[in-house]
Amino acid sequence: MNANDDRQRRPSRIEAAKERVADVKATLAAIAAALFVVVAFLARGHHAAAASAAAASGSTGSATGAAVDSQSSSDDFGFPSASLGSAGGAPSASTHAS
Amino acid sequence: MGVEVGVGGATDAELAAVRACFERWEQAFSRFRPDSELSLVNRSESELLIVSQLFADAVRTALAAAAATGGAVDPTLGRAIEAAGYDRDFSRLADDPRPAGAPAAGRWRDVRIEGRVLVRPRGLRLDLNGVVKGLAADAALELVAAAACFVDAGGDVAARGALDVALPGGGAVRLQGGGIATSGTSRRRWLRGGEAQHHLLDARTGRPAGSRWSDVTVAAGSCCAADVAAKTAFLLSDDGPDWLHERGLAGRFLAADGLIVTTSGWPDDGAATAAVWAA
Repeated sequence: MNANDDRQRRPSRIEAAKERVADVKATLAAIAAALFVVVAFLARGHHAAAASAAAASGSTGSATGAAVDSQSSSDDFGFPSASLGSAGGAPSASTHAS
Repeated sequence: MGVEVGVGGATDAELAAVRACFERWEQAFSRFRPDSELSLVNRSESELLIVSQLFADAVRTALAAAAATGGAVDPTLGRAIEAAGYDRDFSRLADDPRPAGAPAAGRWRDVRIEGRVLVRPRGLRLDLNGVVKGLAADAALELVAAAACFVDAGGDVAARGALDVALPGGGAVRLQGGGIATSGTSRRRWLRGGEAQHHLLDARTGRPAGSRWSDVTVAAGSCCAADVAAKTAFLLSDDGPDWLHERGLAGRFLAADGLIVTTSGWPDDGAATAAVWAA
């Protein structure tokens, strides 16, 4: 009778163990996804974080565009020119080394 | 930043906003406030730091400026400027009989900024003054709505609309919006061990740079761009006028002996211009 009980309980224990393993896997995946989003946020700023969240959830959408936008903000330093003329009559200031 | 700020064309509320803006920038980037973000970053032993968005943006601009100037305007000379003796607000800086400390060359290529994550070698000290004053003036100008207004951050000027600007050594020019800045050694000089020091450093050596110019003034589309270009043109010495000309920037070079050289695009400013550069 006892041996019969053991045989009946064993499959349910195996099923319970499988469920626990699945729970652990799901938890680890969630943690990994969260870490990915946090690292992306720190590394690329708010827009890329949203993109990473979209990518992590399987959605591509505008992910690439958002990442590119946040990267291209001020990586290039430009020297736009200004227009100069002869002084006279305008509000005044002075330029000097400081 | 240790400079006087002048504002024209602003309402009282805008003036208060500009004042708060400069205070915010000062608190972030002062080398002389022990609790500034820059001081905290420079004291940190960690090679990887998370910084504020304002700080990250300034570092990104400084690195871009370093790349655009071939490393002439280098944001990693914090240790070198301290070695030269500039370790407190200039108003409190006195000549010192002790010799200057060991210089440290610039290492801007060793610095990375990704979003708000700053990575730099341990012991490297940032000094972002090459871009911060101009950036602050440009940012402050955005807080003023008038069609004609200006913000003057210690002689670096951001303007919207026409503005007459007095120049070093005499003369004046009209800026039709954008920025104008002067870099030079005529004001901030001190002695260390009997040797003249100034704040414009040669990034290759970490020592005060030699230049045939005492003041270089440049006009550009923004105050930050004008300031970076003026510093670069000063540091490049004889090659400065060509460097500006290649970028289509109007500049004016004042030598210690009074010689004035201007690049093409610079109008007659009333001073006795001895040479016009149009390479």
